[in-house]
Order: sequence, then C-alpha cells, then structure tokens
Amino acid sequence: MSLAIIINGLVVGCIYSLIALGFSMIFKASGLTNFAHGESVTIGALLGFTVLKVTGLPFGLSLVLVFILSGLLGILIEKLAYRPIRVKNAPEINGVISSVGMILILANGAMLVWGAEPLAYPASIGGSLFQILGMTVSSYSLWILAITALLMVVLQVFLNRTMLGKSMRAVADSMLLARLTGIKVDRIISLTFGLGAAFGGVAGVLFAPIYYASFDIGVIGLKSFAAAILGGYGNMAGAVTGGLLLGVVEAVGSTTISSVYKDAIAYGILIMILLLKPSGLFGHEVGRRA
Amino acid sequence: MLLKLTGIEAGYGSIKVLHGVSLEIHEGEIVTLIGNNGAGKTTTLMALSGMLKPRAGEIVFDGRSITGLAPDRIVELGICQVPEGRGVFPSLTVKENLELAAMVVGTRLDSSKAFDTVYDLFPVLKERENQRAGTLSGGEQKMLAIGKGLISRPKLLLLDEPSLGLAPMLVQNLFRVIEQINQMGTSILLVEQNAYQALAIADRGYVMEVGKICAYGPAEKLLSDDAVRKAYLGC
Repeated sequence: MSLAIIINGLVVGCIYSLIALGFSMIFKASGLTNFAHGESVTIGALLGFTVLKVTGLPFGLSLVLVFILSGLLGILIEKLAYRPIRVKNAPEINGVISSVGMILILANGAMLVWGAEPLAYPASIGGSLFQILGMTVSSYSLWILAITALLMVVLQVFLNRTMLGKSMRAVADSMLLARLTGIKVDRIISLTFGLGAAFGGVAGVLFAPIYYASFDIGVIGLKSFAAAILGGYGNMAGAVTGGLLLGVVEAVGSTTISSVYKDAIAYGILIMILLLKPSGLFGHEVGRRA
Repeated sequence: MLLKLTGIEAGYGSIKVLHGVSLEIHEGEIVTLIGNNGAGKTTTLMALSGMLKPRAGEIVFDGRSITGLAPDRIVELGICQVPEGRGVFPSLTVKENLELAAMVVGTRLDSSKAFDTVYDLFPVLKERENQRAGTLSGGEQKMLAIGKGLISRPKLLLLDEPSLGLAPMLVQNLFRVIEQINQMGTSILLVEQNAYQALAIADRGYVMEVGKICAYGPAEKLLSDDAVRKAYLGC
C-alpha cells in the first residue's frame, strides 16, 4: 500500500472533516441536527462555479467569497426553517422534518438555477501533477490539505480568542445559562449556522474540482454526518478526526479490496467503531444535553 | 422601590405554576423567598429574568416595566440571576466565564476593577483563572457562578438556592459573602430552602406556597412566627 493512497484518502477526508465540523458545531450550539447541511456543500460548489466563471477571480478569493455567501445562506436558513421551531419549543422531530424539507427546497432550487447537468470547474484549478518521494501527487491535493489546516487553525483561534467564539462555546455548554448571563443566544445560534454553512460551502468548492459541481452532491453530507458521529457528535476534534479517518479507510479499502465496496467498507468500519465505543472516538459518556 | 411584582401568573405549557405572585424589593435590601419544593420559587426567578413570559401581572424594575422583556435586556438593565446548580460554563476557563458576563453589559474588559472585586471576594478564582470551570470543586464553581453574577455590577442579584449541595462550613462562608455583596450596594433576592439561615441575614422575607405568597414581613418577625417556624424551620 503506497503513501499516495493515504494522501488521497486524507484529501477526501479533509472535505469530510470540514463538513463534519459544520454538523457538529450546529448540533452543539442548537441541539439540532441540520440534515440540510449537505446542501450548503452543493450550493457552495455551484456558487463557486459561477463565481469563477462570471468574475474570473482567482481560486483563493473565490473561496473567500463563497465562504461569506454560504454563511449568509446558512443564517437565512436558520431564520426561516429552524428558529420558528426552536423559539416555540416544538418537539425535536419537527426540526428534523423541517431540515428534510430544506434539503428538497435547496437541492431542487439548485437544479432550477444551475440545471441538472454536472458542471466541471476549469481544468486549470486541478493543478499540475508532480513526483515526490516516488509518488505522483497533484498540487491541488496539497492545496486542499493546506487550506483545510488553515481553516482549522482559524476556527480554533476564533473559538478561543474572540468574544464571539467564546459566546458560541458558552451557548454550546448551556443555552439556559447563556440566556441568564445575558448573551443574545438567538444571534449566536444564527451565527453558528452561518459558520457551519460557510465551512460546508468551502468544502463544496474544494471538492468540486476533484469531482464535479451538481445539484445532487449534497449526499456527501450524509457521509460527513457519519464522520461526525464517528468522532463523537458535537466534538470539534472528533469531527476532524472522524472525517480524516473515514477518508483514509475508504481510500485504503477501495484499493486493497474493491472500489465497488467503498461505501460498504466505510460504513462497516463506522458500525464496528460505534459498537466498541458508542459515543464515538472523542465522545464522552452518553447523556442528554443540559 | 427597586422591584415590584404585581399579580404575576406564569407557568410551563399548560401547567400554571404561579397564581398571582406579588412582592417588592427596596434598594439595598436582602429579601428572601422561602418555601417548599415546587412552591414556585425558581419559576418566580425565571419570570423575573425574562425566561418565562408572565401570562398576567406586571414587573416594574427601577421605575420601568420589564414585563415580557428578553433575558439579555433584563441583564443589561441590571438584574442578574445565579441559577440553581453550579451555574458556570464548564468548558470555558474561569476567566472566560467572567469575561462573558462582563462583556454583556459592556463593562470594559480587563479594565480590571470589576475583575478585582470578584477576585478580592474569591481569591481562589484568581489562582485558577486559566483552569476550565468544569474542573473546579463544587464550592469553587459556586463561587465562580456568584462572581459571574456579580461582575457586571447588577443592581439586583437573584440567587437561586446558593447553599444547595455545599458543605456546612462553606455554607457559613457563603452567607457571609452574600452579606458582603449586599454591603457593596447590590440588592439581593435570595431563594433558599435553608430558610433559617436565609432569614437570619435577610431584611425581609416572603413565604411561598403552591404558587402564591402566603406570608411576608420583616425577617425577625417571620423567624418568630409560629406557623412559619412549624412549616419551614422545623421547630
């Protein structure tokens, strides 16, 4: 088994990690699983396509632009689909239904706007192939690794050093206490949805050049959701580890066994780990949120 | 008059807990609210903090109606609640807990007077400044919770069962600290099951029973009232 396979796995794993982070942070802050989170990946990838095509901005700047636009979309979605349910203290299942509804609206909306055909990013983004330590790697793979690492560092700094980030952690710890402390909890939750969607959108733009952009790539969200669970749902380090692990397991499995069984291998490992450690790799004791 | 509740009715879902609660707090007072489990003491505090919208009645604070205001507005106006339990954000450090509470009312960060007040009162918090709050002992977490309530210099501090779960010696200290906070100019509404000690430091007391105030008056008077003694002081 060559190192190149591991690197390929890590590259896809980075995408899973970025999406899984969004799932986890939204869950941690609001107690709600945003099943439509995968659609922020779709919209991000498609927005990226349009931004690159229409504005001709460099890839890096397009990423930043998509980060912002996806974030705004996330905030809007929270306002429309989740806040009314949360504020009225409706049963949690209503939030699930609402997020499934959002999947349909966003995926079909994307199809209306961008059409049903897969769209390919400009080939130049794929970068050049080069040899390193006897392996062939694309420079784009290294970009994905670097950008993901950068985003993780920025997220850490944001959560630990800014008052807004600290407020987010406080809301995640206890919504009740955050309210009593005077934190504007609704605003923080809305921002968390925005940040999660921004990460999803960036993941979409990073993913599209190695795949394609289309209204239906949001299914990658499902696998990332699995990665978030694998790492311990609601745990940031867990989401990253789960994503990377899933990517590598998938890559190794599909080359050593068969790529036909790629998903079966990935989910098989997931089930095995969860049987051994039901709360996930980084999960703590099973308990209800306060 | 700092605070006046008139005929507050509130509850959760279809369950009505408060059936018309009226009480008042004057500036500089320690007022205690005592009563059995389930009498509606915590619910009263939650209505006061804006966590529950009253279905009827009015809350006037510092000359303006705050009925139905959002919790963050109420904190800004100067009412802080230290809820029952530990009342801290466990994954945040001691300092971060205090910073957040200070930020909310715009107390300038690190303009350290507010921090100093808290650290003077609870020196152990200064030592543990960079430790996660969840790793503190129960007593230390309680101190942090109170420090957190205090750092924004509220006009009125609501304390919900602060002595619950503390060792007897810590309880002694706690009541002393509450008196100290009051002497610094903060009025206090103290909800306690530990009725005897609460009445001992309070100016006035209210006794609550199934969602209503059933007795009230100066603390000494309640302490010597036969009915109150039988029901709440166990003697």
